[in-house]
Amino acid sequence: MRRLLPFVALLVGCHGKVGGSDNPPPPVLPAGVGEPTPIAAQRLTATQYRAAIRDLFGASIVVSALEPDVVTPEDNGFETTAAGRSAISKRGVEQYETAAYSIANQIVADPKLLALALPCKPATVDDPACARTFAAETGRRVFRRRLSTAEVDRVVAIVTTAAAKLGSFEKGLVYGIASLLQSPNFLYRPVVGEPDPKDPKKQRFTAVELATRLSFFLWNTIPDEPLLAAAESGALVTEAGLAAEVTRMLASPKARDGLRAFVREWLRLGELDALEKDSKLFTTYTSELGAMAREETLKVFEDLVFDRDDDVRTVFTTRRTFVNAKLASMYQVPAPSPTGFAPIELPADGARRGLLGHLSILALYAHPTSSSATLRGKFVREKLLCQPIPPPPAGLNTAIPEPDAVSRTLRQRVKVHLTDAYCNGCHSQMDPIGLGLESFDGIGRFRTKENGGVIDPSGNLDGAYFSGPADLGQVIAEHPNLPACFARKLYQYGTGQLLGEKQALTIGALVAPFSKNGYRLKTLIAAVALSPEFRQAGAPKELPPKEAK
Amino acid sequence: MRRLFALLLALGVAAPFGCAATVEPTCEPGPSQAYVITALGFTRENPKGVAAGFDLDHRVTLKPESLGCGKTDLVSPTGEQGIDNQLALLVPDIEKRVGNAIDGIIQGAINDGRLLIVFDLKNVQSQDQDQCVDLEVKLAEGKPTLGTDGVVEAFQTFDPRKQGQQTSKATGGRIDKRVFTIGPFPLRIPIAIFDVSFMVYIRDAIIRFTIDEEGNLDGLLGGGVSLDEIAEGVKDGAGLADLIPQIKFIGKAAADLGYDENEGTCSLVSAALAFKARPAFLRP
Repeated sequence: MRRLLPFVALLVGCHGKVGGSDNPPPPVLPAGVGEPTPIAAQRLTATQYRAAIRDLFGASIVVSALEPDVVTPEDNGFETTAAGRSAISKRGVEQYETAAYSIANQIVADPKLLALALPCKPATVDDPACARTFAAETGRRVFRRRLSTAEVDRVVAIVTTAAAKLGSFEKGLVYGIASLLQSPNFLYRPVVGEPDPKDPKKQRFTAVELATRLSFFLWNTIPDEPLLAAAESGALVTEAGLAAEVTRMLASPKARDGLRAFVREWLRLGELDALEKDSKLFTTYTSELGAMAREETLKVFEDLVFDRDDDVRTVFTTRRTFVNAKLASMYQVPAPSPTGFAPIELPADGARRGLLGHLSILALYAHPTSSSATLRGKFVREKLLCQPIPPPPAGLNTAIPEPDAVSRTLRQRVKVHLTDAYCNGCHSQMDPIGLGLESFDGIGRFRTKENGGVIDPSGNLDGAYFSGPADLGQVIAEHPNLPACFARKLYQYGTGQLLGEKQALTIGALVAPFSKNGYRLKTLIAAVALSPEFRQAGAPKELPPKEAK
Repeated sequence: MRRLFALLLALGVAAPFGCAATVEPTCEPGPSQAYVITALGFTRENPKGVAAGFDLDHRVTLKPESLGCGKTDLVSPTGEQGIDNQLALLVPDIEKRVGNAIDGIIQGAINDGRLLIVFDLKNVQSQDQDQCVDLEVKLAEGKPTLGTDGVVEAFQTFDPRKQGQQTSKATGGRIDKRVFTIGPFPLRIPIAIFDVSFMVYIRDAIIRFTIDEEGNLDGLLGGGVSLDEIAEGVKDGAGLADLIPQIKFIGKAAADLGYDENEGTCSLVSAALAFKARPAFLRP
């Protein structure tokens, strides 16, 4: 599969220039001319599994450990993409089983939860009619579609057989629930597609497949009843019906969860939970700080997109952010509230501004003992401007000199990266950007000096000069690659698809309405959901060589 | 003796309080910056004849004389003559009797939020050089966050303590090459110990500290304290009556300030406390 989706168009050779006038925005083309998503069953990510259980059976259900989603660089950080490309381990399968029985036992032990899962009262210990009602109704919610008669029969047989043997309908129900939760129809998002009536040569997702696809894209969880109903009635596969559902879903509070999931995956904010920093050097860094920093970033996006519906590029320039007491102390500003998060305006004369001033980004894209111009520059290139940087050659010593009396600051120490021809090809594209963030140390605290040397945070990005981090945010906000990169990232997240040159037309078509509507992210989200490519199912994925044998 | 020590300790750890409300700022209006004390401790004599502190009486007493009630002055670690800090001479003896826990007890009170003293510098035009800076010393409350080094983190936001007027004010401080000095000015200190609480004055208090590049403070607070007032304050405390003679005895024996020409005695004990502070915010 990886061979089928080369990054030819995306790969930027380290010897060439990136961005700027050499990299004009993609052409604006009519929608529907791009490459549809190949048919493939995406596994629910661990986050989606938990959200699905919450929406199926209630927030009080405790879900035991699940196999973490393994994200490779090729996935661009997206768990949704990784979940369509990676296999689950034997241990992971066992964890699914354990979780399924644990959830089922919690449900039958709580009358309120049981009432949600069992829409009937069994007349006998192994009441087949009630078991059938359970299988059909609860099964529909779990599988996100109606079950076939054969599928219902199988669930009924499990429930009634177990109930008869154990002498209790509820005990039998445990096996029925667990069987549903271990089914690939729950754990995966199976798709088979159907011929598109408008063009029978093309395949499209079926209505219920589209409902699931929409729901996980916009809400990061399972469809609700109105969405399932719209799918089952066929309304969802009409232009008007789809538009109505997208509008309704974006107005739902659940859309905030969807946005948060996208931002979390795009910026790799999940990794903040396991972030390690040297506690002797960074005495204010605690294990809880990563989650707090992530929450700040997610709240900023939520506020920008849903509360203010503003130009998403302002996320790089805004002084508005959300902090709790701990983050306020890290940012050297008064805490706006004694408890929890609250909005603040960062000082107008301060260096901290926008996403690049968030502790989440500054701490994540840094080393355990120091900042990193390279990691931060790479972040800007790859995550914000969609300009991939190849990994360093194997065996290359990437260490930079330790500070000394002459070379105190990182700028002075990474000079070798920029003067050595071997390093310069790639590092000249990353380090100058990252050095613009050197006003912040390895955990994002503001500083003016490093090892006694005065920090110079100025530089230029693709020809645009910046005097420091606040200026850098402005330069990124105005960078011509940014809108298309937003579109690319969102499209990859929404489709779970690895993007190559075949999707360039689709991305170009998405940028046009995005730009026309003032770069409001909700517009772009809707454009992705309504795009023909989002609805069209491509040819099935080629199996990876190992599995094809 | 342990309870007596506790009283002395309370003198050290209690915060300045409600005083000189009529003092008006005299400096040109400018930005404020608050600092919370993150470490506070008694200064000690080390080596003999040397201790940190201030020349509170503006005299160098090299040999016993009546104005100093027979107490000779100390020399500061930097060689400054005329240091008045008789409390520094008492601390080692107290430590021998009650264990070397003084600093830990004080640090514990700071770290758990029972002792949050805030220096609020007013009208600061420059942290390098400023000839007119005012100071308010306040009590704050809140649960401070500690760093992995066990010290209260900088730039935290605290609430002012709610009870009554809790501010001591002083005007006319100055910053010279990042060294701030203010005083003498009157400080009142609340003591809450056992079942009694009362006020103790620090007469002619002086505060001096350096401001480092990260805005942290390192300095001294000193002045004269009356152990008679402490004795008076604890007289109504249950079971504390037997302490009063000891307090008065120590006060009389150690007093070196406030010479009364008629009586030929001193009424105040000179004292100095070392402290460190970090930038903080105080809610209005």
